[in-house]
Amino acid sequence: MRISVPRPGQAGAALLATVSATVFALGAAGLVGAGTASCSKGGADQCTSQRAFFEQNVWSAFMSTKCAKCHAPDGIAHTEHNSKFILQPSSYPGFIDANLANLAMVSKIQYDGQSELLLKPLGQLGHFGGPQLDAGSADYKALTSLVSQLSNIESCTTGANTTLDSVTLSDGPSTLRRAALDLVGRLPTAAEKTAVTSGGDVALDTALDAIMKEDAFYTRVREIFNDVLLTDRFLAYEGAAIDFMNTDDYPGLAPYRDQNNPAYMSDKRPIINQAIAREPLDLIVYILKNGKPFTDVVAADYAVVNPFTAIAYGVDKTVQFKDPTDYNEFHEAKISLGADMMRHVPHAGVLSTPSFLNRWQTSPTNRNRARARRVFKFFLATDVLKIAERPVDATKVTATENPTHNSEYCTVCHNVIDPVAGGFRGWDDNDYEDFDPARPWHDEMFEPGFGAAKMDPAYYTKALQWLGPQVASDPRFSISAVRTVYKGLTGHDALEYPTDNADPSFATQLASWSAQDAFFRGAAAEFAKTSDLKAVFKTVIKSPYYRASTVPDGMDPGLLKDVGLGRLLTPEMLNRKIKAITGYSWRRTDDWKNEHDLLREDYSILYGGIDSNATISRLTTANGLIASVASRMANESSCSLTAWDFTKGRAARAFFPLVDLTEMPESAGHTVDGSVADIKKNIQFLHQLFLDEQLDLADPEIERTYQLFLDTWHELSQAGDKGLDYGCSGRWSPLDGTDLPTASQITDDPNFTVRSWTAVMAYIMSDYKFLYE
Amino acid sequence: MNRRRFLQVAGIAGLAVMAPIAPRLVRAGAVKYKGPFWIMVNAGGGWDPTMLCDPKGGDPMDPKAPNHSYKPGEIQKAGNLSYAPTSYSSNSVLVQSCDAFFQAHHKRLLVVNGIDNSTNNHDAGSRTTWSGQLPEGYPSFAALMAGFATAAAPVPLAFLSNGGYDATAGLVSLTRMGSTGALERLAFTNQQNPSDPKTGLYHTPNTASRIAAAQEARLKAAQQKERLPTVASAMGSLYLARQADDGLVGLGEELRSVKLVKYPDDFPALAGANGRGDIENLLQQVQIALHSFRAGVAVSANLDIGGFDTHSDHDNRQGSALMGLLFGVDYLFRQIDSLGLTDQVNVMIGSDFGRTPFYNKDQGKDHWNITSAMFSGPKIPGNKVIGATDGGFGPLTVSPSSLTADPNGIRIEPKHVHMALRKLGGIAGTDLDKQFGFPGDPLPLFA
Repeated sequence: MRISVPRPGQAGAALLATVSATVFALGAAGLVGAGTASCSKGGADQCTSQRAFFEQNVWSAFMSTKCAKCHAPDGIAHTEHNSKFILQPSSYPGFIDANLANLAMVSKIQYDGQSELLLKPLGQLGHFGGPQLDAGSADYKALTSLVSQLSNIESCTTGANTTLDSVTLSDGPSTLRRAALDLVGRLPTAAEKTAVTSGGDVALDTALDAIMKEDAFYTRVREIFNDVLLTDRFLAYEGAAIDFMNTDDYPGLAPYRDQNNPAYMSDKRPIINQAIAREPLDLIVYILKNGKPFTDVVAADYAVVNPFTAIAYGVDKTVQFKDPTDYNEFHEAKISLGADMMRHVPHAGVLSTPSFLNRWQTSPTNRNRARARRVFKFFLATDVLKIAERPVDATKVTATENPTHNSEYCTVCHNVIDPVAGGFRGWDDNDYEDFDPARPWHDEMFEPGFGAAKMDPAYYTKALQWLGPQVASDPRFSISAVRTVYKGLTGHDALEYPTDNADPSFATQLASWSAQDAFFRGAAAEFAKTSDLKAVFKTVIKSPYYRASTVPDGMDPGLLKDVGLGRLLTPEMLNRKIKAITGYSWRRTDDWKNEHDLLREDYSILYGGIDSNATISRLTTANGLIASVASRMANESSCSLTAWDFTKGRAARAFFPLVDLTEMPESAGHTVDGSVADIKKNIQFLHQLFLDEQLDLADPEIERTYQLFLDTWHELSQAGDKGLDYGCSGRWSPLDGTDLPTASQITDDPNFTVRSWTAVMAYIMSDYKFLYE
Repeated sequence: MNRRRFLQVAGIAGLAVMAPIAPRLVRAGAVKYKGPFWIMVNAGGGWDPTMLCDPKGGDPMDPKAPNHSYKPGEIQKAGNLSYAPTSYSSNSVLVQSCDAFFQAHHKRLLVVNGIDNSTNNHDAGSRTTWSGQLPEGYPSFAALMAGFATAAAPVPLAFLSNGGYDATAGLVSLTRMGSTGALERLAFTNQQNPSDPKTGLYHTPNTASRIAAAQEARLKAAQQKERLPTVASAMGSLYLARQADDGLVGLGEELRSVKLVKYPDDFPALAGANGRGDIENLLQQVQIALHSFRAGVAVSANLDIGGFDTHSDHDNRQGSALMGLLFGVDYLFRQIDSLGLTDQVNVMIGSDFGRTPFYNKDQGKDHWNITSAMFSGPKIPGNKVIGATDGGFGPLTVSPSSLTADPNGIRIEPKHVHMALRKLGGIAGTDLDKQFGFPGDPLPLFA
């Protein structure tokens, strides 16, 4: 028997080094065009890359079902028979590339000049799984072809995925409006609209670049990343973050924790609390604002402090602030702990911030494994627990000494998690923000590292500073960043790979998944080159997933999974949209001095929002409560805005610039054509303003809205009640509650038009296109 | 699966609901949930059982004494329950005392002392007390019971929470009750101020119906034209949401008969006492929860009151916090009885953990992993104490069978409490119970 293995330096050789290396195979394979050999010619001019051939003819055709069960990382082929042929599950980001890389390596192991990969499936060479393929089958022929391809140089580049090429995208102005509302909570300016209308996507890029420099954009960035990190939990009350800080480590906070100290009641305390709680999100904003590489999110060897975190961290005397009251003035700093400041924090982006460490806690028995799982989830798009989804035989586990290190039931996950947990060595298991470089680690665990790489012991006193860059350099870091932005903008998670190839719609599902996977890989590859997260925002915004408006007749809907938004706005986004379009806040009116937007207070959770504590997943589908909140919002807002707008002259009106209250649709039973025309023009205006609809006056939707106005007017005029309810009258400004001059007040409705327009406004503001994007 | 159940499941799962738009359905009357109901009262911040139901007492001059506010000889009894002589007065008006509380309610109370929460971290402690498990991932008991009930039949607002540990593990939708007026306003969206019937409507009833009909017709037309399935699906979900019988109207009608209680204004005996927002808030939480139960729209509720993290000036601040809690629980018990819910409502009162059996330099007490819990319910034996602690507020072990003190026995842990609660709730041994199982054997705490 002759067995050949790859020589050092050959593709995949490094992957043989350790078991855990296979989990990180993607790192070796790269994100795009993982193939290392030639292509298969599908026709005269057609060329199928190794990757595409593997995905379509091998993986989805049979390997995912016939091989993956035993050859998964936790499968018996590896755990009991030490097989090198290990297939990542579809939940692993970039699993196609990772598995193709593994095949490229394994296919080179030969017996009598033939690849083992072609012998074992036939039941030869003592394959423990017995025969799985018939030598004459199409599946076996596909495998043979793949092995042949893998032995050659790839000459066929992966072509662009064309699945969504026929999707029609929204035009520039509509895309800009959607993006401006989404990213900065405002409507585009006239200049922006003009530029994008004439300048196309180039101008759209320029406009988006400008938008992403506005402060409001960074508010949105904080929201998107808080949905991941959930550190805003410590904004629940004004001492939530201060309370977890150890004043031995951070003596600057002692006055703010002492209820007998005046500082406890000072105005600074809630801001300091916010600054500590928000440190991870503020760091991300700092990175984006200052053009820093996004990898600093986990690899920055500095903290960013504003005047308030500077107090907390005891650097307020050493960092010079231009304005010590400016929350947004951030400087890079190094933090040390204790009164003697002799314990230096091993800064590693958000990972070393007290807020992150307290939000994602550990315990003496957990030993930072939970944090390691979060590192994989947040920054590597990997759900580690999905590596091993199978029943565990507890008796076998308990019969093994130190099972997390020695039991095959445990090591499948722990050899991935525990080394990363070791990156948090030095941080206290109970007092989470306390760091001591001399704190002992748990030597019975897998030693600190990341994948195949072992941590240099020189870093043991600052382990996070070794781990952070490792995470940042992993290809999954880019995928994770792209997916985070994608979910932030679309509300959708990445599609899951279809697993049931017996499903009649499997091919369609696969095509849909492949299209999205190609999009993600492309965006991640670009991001990996630049580390510019703003570019990812633009890429997603310009993609069919965000921008699709329609598709050709007959296009299989199965190909269009998650294409186009259809997104229920979050409470924060709807709140901003109301302000952007109306200039008004839907808010409590009993305390005008402070901000009390109802969608951020009373109705935040009821409208599907999160509190970053117990409620951590946003509702993306409307329910009865959400519909009721929307109805309440539309009724209250239309009541507040309608009469008030009519108190102004036409030119100053926001909603009714084309009509007056004296314009009634009928007089003495006859239609008043001029009034009807003005009413319809104003309805047309409202559809454009609130719903971004460009409708002809003859459009059925204009007619539908007009009919609502007319029928309401009929009802009111026939009843003859000319009174206007006090709450919906035009006596004060809904912007600040100030009384209007008596002369301009609207206190009744002699023409029945105030209430008819109020009905129209409620209808428009509760419309699908207002509540969704 | 009926339509409402489908909606509920879809909502929980975050699923887009795609449905052909049909003519507006008449709202069907919801089937009322009849019980059992569960109320979890959280004393947020870590209470001190030695000033409540596990009294020790001590010399005020002894810095190592567990209590400075009373001496061992001042410990009092009501039936089989011992309690500390803690009280709270405002402007010389006695607001609440342990004496009044335990004398009034000891017959319905089961006290479990010496529970080892095995943590002194707030988050972990709260999680352990209310889920039975230290690590993350388990639902709070209130969420578990709501999830169990809604699996059998839909309950619109099954799990109400005012805070504390209210993780749901995806079993049930959580409804936050932060603003007591919010739900009423959502129940009657066309009324300007539902709590004041004199205020007007935004639109006449006919106009409101007309708006709804126009919305429905427009959505139907839009969906028929829409070619993107993602968008069409979202339109379908909005349509269904507008049809959903969410139970709000039933709750709103129930709430209309309720005047939210004001503290201390609505308690003549407290004339002259200062207001306390935390007490008033707890009382209103009680009202909303019990009336939600009575409306048949909820299964369980987390009630929450804070102020227990007394690292300084412990005796005054902890005493004040505890008596605020007892004022609320006293009100809860009385309201349960007056609303005719005595045979349906189960109550657990607990906290993150206990506090040290000694004082720090600021006369405060820090975190201590030993704690107590109190229970009441139709099948929970009252006038009973299980478990104990030693003079240093360390846990004493108990016999797993008799629950009497036994040096060779075991410590009572939160998992034992939760195993017993699950048995009481009828879910022990179910798939749901196994899904969030505990190692070891249960203790007959409620036998």
